[in-house]
Parts: sequence; structure tokens; C-alpha cells
Amino acid sequence: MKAIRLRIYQNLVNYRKPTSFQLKETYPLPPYSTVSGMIHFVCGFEEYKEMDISVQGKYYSKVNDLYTRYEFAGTSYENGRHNIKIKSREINKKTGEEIDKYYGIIRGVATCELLVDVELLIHIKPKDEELVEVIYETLKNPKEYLSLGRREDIARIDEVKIVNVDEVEIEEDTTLEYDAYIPIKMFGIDDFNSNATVYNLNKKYEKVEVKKGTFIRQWEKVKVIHGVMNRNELAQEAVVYKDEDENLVFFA
Amino acid sequence: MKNPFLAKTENKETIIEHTEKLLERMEALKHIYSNIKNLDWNILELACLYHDLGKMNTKFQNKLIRKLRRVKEYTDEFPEDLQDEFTNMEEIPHGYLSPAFLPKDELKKKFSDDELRILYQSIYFHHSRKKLENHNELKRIVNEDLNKYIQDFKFDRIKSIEKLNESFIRYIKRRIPDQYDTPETIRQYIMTKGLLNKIDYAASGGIPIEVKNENLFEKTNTYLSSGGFKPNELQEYMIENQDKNNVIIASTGIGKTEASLFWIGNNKGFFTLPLKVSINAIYDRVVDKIKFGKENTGLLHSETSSEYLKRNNNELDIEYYDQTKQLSLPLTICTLDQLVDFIFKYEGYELKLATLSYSKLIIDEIQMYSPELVAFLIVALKYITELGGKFSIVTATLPPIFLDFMKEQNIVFNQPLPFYKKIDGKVQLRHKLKVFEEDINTDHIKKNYKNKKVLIIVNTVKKAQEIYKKLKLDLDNETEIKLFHSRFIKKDRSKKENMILDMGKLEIKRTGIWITTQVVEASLDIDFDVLYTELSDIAGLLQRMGRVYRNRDLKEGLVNIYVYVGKDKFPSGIGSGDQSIIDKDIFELSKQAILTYVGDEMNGKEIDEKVKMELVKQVYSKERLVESNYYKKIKETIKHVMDIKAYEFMKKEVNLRNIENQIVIPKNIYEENKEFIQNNLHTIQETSDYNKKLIAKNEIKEFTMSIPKYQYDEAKRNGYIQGDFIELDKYNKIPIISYPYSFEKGLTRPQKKLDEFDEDLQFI
Repeated sequence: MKAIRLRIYQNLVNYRKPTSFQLKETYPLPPYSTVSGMIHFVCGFEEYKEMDISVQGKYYSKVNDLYTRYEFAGTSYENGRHNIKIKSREINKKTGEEIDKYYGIIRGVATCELLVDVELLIHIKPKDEELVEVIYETLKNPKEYLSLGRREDIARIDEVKIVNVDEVEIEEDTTLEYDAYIPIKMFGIDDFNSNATVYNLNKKYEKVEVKKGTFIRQWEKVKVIHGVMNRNELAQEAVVYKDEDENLVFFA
Repeated sequence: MKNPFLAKTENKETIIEHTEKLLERMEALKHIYSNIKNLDWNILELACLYHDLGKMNTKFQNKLIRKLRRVKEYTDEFPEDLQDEFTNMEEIPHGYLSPAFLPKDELKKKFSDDELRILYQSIYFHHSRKKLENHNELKRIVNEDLNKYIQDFKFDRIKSIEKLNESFIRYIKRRIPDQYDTPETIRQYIMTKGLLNKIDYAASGGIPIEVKNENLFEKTNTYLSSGGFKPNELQEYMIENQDKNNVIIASTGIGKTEASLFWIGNNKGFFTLPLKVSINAIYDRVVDKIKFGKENTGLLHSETSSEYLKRNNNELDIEYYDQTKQLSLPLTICTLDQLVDFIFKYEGYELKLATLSYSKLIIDEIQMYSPELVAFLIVALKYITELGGKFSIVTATLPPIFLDFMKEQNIVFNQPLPFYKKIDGKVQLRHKLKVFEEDINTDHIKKNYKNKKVLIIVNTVKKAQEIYKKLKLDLDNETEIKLFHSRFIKKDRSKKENMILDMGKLEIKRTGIWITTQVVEASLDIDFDVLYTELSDIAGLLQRMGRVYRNRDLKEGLVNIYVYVGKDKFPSGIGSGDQSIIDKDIFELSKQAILTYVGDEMNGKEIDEKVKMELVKQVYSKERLVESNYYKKIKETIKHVMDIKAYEFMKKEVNLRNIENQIVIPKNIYEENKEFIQNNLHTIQETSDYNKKLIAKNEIKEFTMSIPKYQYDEAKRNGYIQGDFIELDKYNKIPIISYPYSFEKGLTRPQKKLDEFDEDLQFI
């Protein structure tokens, strides 16, 4: 089967864990939804295209950096609580006339985790095989720069290639060459055994109306093991996907 | 140079020679204990065959070659190292390399995946070494280093090794016991790995794996009949229930030891007791009286070597000592601590558990153990019985809650009715008891000591010294007054022990007063005429009673037990803190039970053996104790220990007792024996003779005693421990404590701190 292989380099990047607030924490690798979102954005897909994604990579280290945080909860301005006052207009429900309305914002410093010198090896296999070519072409000639993570996390694309991916039985015990997200159901317990961290990653969402006029994103999640390079090993005889250059592929 | 395939430097032993030794021992084990459960002998044999083949790697061989080259007679034989192509790589432990030699494809046809995991892991983990980060280097060593040597390695017991198989993580990554493993797999692994270790250690130490128990049963029987006895009711029961687990309550003097030996019969056995003194006594009895012989009997506690020295003209028989340590003798008399620490599942715990699985275990005097140790014991019994081991608890007093806990853990056992010593068909009556609701004092004693052997037992050393001082003032010239407790240096302690034993002999007509603490409670075989005691708990009280009218029938109307239960405050040593010698709730319950039993019989009430056991049953029942700290402690400890994951600990981190002790030497003793001590220290440093070293260390230890850590800390805080200490070796430094010490009183704690103002000192 055909898939697009991407090699990406990023200098300082945050793949945010959705529940981290005081400190913006980062996943060790971009979660599926982030990759999927990037593809959809650059290709201009207006609706969801189903695709399998494999994410592997490594980074040099992790640092914490300061950033300016604007905290805006849609509340009216209160003196002493907010340090920024913004002016807006609203319609008085009783009289119907337009009046001034002031919202409050808090600006302050906060901390953000950043991965340093990230190299990524990503495989993408759209369900609709015709899209392979489309995605390949757009990634070759993107309409603007690619970013993965925060908007400012520019991705340098080192390689885009259409590759063949096949199922094979591995011939000898194999040590991971990259960190990788490995869906926990992919292998039998003796084919791959690890005590590494398990993440419940977002893959895609559907909009669900919870009350009239209010929609939320309901996420489909994938449980994955954060396989660690040079440590976790696949056992001989395990059945895996490999691309034509012998790279392991862990589609989810 | 060719690879010499060495396994050990000693005698230049090769891998093949060492492996042959293992196989011999495995055959011996199979011969002696052929029906070991949960074990596939074929897998064990494979483990033995292949476990050390990884040693043929260049780095390991070079290590041995270099060592041998330094030995004169081998220098020429090993002129140079093997060519090492991996100089910038660290040595990979041989245990990790050996599995590569197993003929994987062939084995897969014969064994299931779980069986292969058992085999591979037994070998892979047979030494506990630092975990490998990954197998990349291991693969290189197997393919590029070991591969060079396999053509030259000819061993007729294995087919020639054509290819090595470096890919075996499938069988070792999920370490047994894992959450998905069946109990069957776990049991088999414990047996295979444990026995491989045991066989390997025996082979390395050059000792037999097991010594067959030929005739313990017959010897015990002969001993009994030589005294004109036949097996009694209890002993008959134990003979009939040799293959069962039993919980036996039997009154003292009924022949529990013989009953226990009968139960062990001609099987491997362990006999556990709480105190070293009693262990030594039983050991001597089995060796000399029952004539089972020291070649068949081991003594195992923290001072095994010095006890062996004493009994062998100050010479340590190293082989005998090793055999004892490796648990290979038919009968081992030991402390519980030596056996049950495996419950912490430290690296290598399988050996003890596997050994116990085909042994019989006797537990005596169970009421003496702290709640923690009871919890440890219950967990241990659970693991042992699950693997097929057998146990019998044989005790004079048994708190029933122990049984409740055992049942909760699904431990199966027989529990016959208690065995009482009967005289003319009636339960023996030895004691009449009177209770004083007051703090212990000397008033009654002073009226009652004449022509009697009086034993006073109190709860603390301090109290003992206090009472001693008082009596000495009042009665010094009237009778012999002596003091005995745990704060004596070893040398004096054994002297005192002999003195009290002597006085306690029925045939000795001399009389006098001995004031002691619970050190005499269980271990010493003494028989006094009257007991004055503080109450600790009911079980302790009964133990103490056992020292009076040990085997005599009560004379009509005579009161021989006086118990002080305290008036407004508790007896000494009892409180709500951690240092209380007995749980406060249990003290209260014991006090109530005693008071209720005696009722308003002002002149004392008779108490026979049956009543005694019923009192224990009452106090230590689950209903009464369920709210107490004692109960909670056992319950929590069991839970805590059961939750321990395998291999979380290293063996040296395991500590069964939370009361730490510190060995000290009193200053005046040190001053008096300075020269002797220095001479011995000199010997320790100078000689390389292990035996001499040991003797010298023991000589010094004779002047020491151990005190609880908190007391040591207190002394240190108050300036009684100065900088000096005696350095036996790197790990054993004995501080000198400047508390006053005498043979008469032992170590006494001074009232004042050293730097406090002392009026007397000011006027000297």
C-alpha cells in the first residue's frame, strides 16, 4: 500500500497537552489530531478525510520558556481584577439602543515547555488512495509555511516521498530507532513489552450539539504507548509494517 | 591463544567441569526429593546445562586469565589475553549471554511459550546484575565474539552448537511474575529459578545440594524409648498427621520438641524458635541427646559462626558452615528471620521459597512474635503452602486471632483440641494465683522469701534495677539476691544465665531471690518456687508462670504466683507509645481477664493448664481485638507485604524488625580489658586466616551488648558516647558508652546529663 512519508525538523516546539494550564506541557511527539489538522489545513480540506497516521521522532532536550498569557473569559471589566480594559458595543435589551460595553483581560507571564531540535518521521495513509497524490503535491508546494504545534512552530520539511508500506515478520529482535506512538492493541504482549507511558491521544472529532445552538467537539481517542528509542524492543517474529526503506511504521 | 573456556579461577575450573558439578547435584536432589512439585526436571536440567555458557566471552575469559596468570603455577599456561575486539565496550554479564546458546527452534517444538519463558528467565536472571538498556551490544557480542568460539567448544552433553540465537527477548521481557501469568507458571518459575540458584551455589561452594534425612524419626523414637517412654497422645497425633499442616496447642512439658521431630520424620525440616538461646538449646539437644548428629543438623541465626566455634574447639568448619547457610542439611534449627524474608521478593528470593516447598516447617512459641513478625509469618505460610510446603505450629499459647488471619489467607490446616498434660486423667494443676491491684513492691516478698527460690519478673530493666536496689538494702545479709536482664555484656550474660539455670534446677536445694526481665520468659529451663511479676499480657504471664513449678503438681493451698496489675498507673514498660512492650489495649484486656477470673477469692485461685489457654483465647479473640492497634497492625502489615511487587527490593534492603539495635561496649569494661581488646584488633588486621579473624572478633564481642537504637541515641545526645570506637572492620564499629556498668547490676542509665550541674561534684 502507498503512503506519504514526511521528514520534518523543528527547532523549538510545543505539542500541547490539552489539560495543562499553569504550565503549558508538551507531548513528546505531535498527537495524531495535530498532524491530521496540519494536513487538512495545507490541503484545504473542508471536511474530514479519513487517514491512518504514524508518528515517530526524537528530540534533543526540553526547556521551559516564558510567554505572555492573555486570559480572557468574556467577563465585564472589573477594576483591580483585570489589567486590560477593552471597549466594545452592545445592544441594550430593554431600550434597544447601542451602548458601550467594557471587557476585562488579564495579561501576565506564564511558562511553556518546549522541545528542542525535534526530528519527526511521519507516515500518512489516506483511506482514499487518490488523495495520496494530492497530499504529496501540496506538501511539495505548500501555499504557505507549514507549522506543527503552535502556529509559530514552523516545520522545516526535509523530505516528502511516496513510499510502499508492507506487512512483514521481523527477523531479529529490533530496537526502536525513534520514539514512537505505538497503539497498545497493535502487538501481542510478548511481541512488544514496555513499561513506558501510555497516552490517550486525540485522533479526530465530531461536532455534537449538546443543547440547542451549542456544539462541542467530541473526540475519538487512541491509546498509545510512548515507545522509547534505544530502549524498547520488538521481538523476533512480531508482525509489523515497514516502509520500503526498512523504517517501522505504526499506523493508528 | 585459544579460549580456555574457564568458569572459575579456583582450581582453574572450566565451564564444562562446573556444569558437570551442577548436573551431579541436580541428580542427587532428584534422587533424595524425587517428588518435588511444580517442577519440570527437563527444564531444570536445560537450565543447569546452559546457564554458564555465556562465560566463554572474551572479556570474561580475559578476566580469569589475568587472575590466573598472577598465580605462579599457572603463569606459563596463560601467557597472553585473548584478542578483544570490543575494547570500548563494557563486559556483558554472562547470565545475559547464556540464553543465546539455547537451541531455540528445537525447544519450541517441545515446550510451550510459558515454559520457554521459565527456562530463558531462569538463566537470564540467575545473577542479579544491572539491567541492560537494550540488546544491541549483546547482539554484537553474540554474533561477533561468542560465534568465534563455538566450534572449539565440545561438550558431549549438548549437541554441537551450530548457531547462536541472539533474538530471545520474546521470552525475557515480560518478567515472571507478571499480571498475565497463571499461578502455575509463577510456581514453576520460582521452583526452576530457585533450584538452579541452589544447585549453582552448592556446586560453586563444593558442598552437597542436600543431605538425606536418613533416620530422624527412628532416632527420636529411640531417644524416647531409652527414657522408658512411648509416644504420647500428642506425639501419636503428629505421627499420624505427618503429611498435614497442623496447629497444635500443647501445655509445656508434654514433649513438644519430640512431637515436632516425629512430624518432620525422615524429611527435610526447619525448626524455628524466637530466641537464639532456645535455638542453641534445641540444637544441642538434637545433636547430643537425640543423637541426630551435627552432620545432619544445622544451627542458623545471626551468630551461627560463633556458636559453631564454641562447639568445635574454636575452629570453624567452613564446609559445615556453608552447608548450614545454603540450607542443605536435613534439619535446621533457626530463627524465623532467616527463613521468611523471602516474602519481600527481593532479587533471588526464589531460592528460599523453593527450598521450603519441599520442606517441613515447625514454628514454636508463636506468641512471642511482634504483630509485624506474625503478619510476615502468615504471608510466608501462605506462599509456602501454595508451593506444596508443610508447616506445623506447635505452641503452648496461641492467640486465636492468628488463626482468623490464616483462614482469611486460605491457608489450610488441621486444628486438633489442645493437648493438656494430665495427671491421673486430670488436667495438671501447677499454679495458684493471687492478684495485687497495686504497683509492684517488695512488701509481700519480704514476708515470703524464706527457704524459697523466688523469681521476680518485671517489664523493664530500669524497674528490675530499682527492685534489686531495694531488696539489697533490706535483705542483703539474709539471702542471695541476684539480678538478670538483657543489659549485660555477652560474657557476663552467659555467666548469669548459668547461675540462674543452676539455681533453677530442682535438685539444687539452695534458695534465693532472682530479679529479672522477660529475658527468662521462654528460653530458660528453670524451676523456681514462687513468682512475683508485673503483668504484661496474658500470654507473657503464662510464659512467666512456666518458670515456676515447671513440672511439679501444686501443693495443697499454696499460692505460688503473685501478679501486680498496677493501681493508678500502668506497670513499667506499658504505655500508649511505640516503645510500650505490649499493646495498651491488650494489657487492659489481660488485666480484666485476670481480675474477672480471680474474682473475690482473696486468698488466691487455682489455675490449671486448660483455664490458662482459655484465658488466652478470651483476650486474643477477634471480637475483642478488632478495634485494637494490635489487630490493625497485623492486618495492615499483611496487606502491605502482599502488595509488594517482585524485585522491588534488593536483599540487603530487607529488614524484618523495625526495632534497630546498636552494639556498644561499656567504658569501664573497655578500660579494664584494653590490652586484650587491642591485641585482638591487631590480630584482625594482620592475619589473613579467616578462622583466626573470626575468633578475635568473637573475643571482642564478648565484651559488648546490644541496646535499642533509641537508647543509644539518647546516650549520644547527653554526651555519654564520645568519639572513640572499636573498629572491627569497615562495617562494624563499636562505640564506647560511658554509662556505669557492673557484673552485679548490668548497664545502668545515670539520672543526670553529663553537662548538668551536679552538686556532689562541686564539693569534691
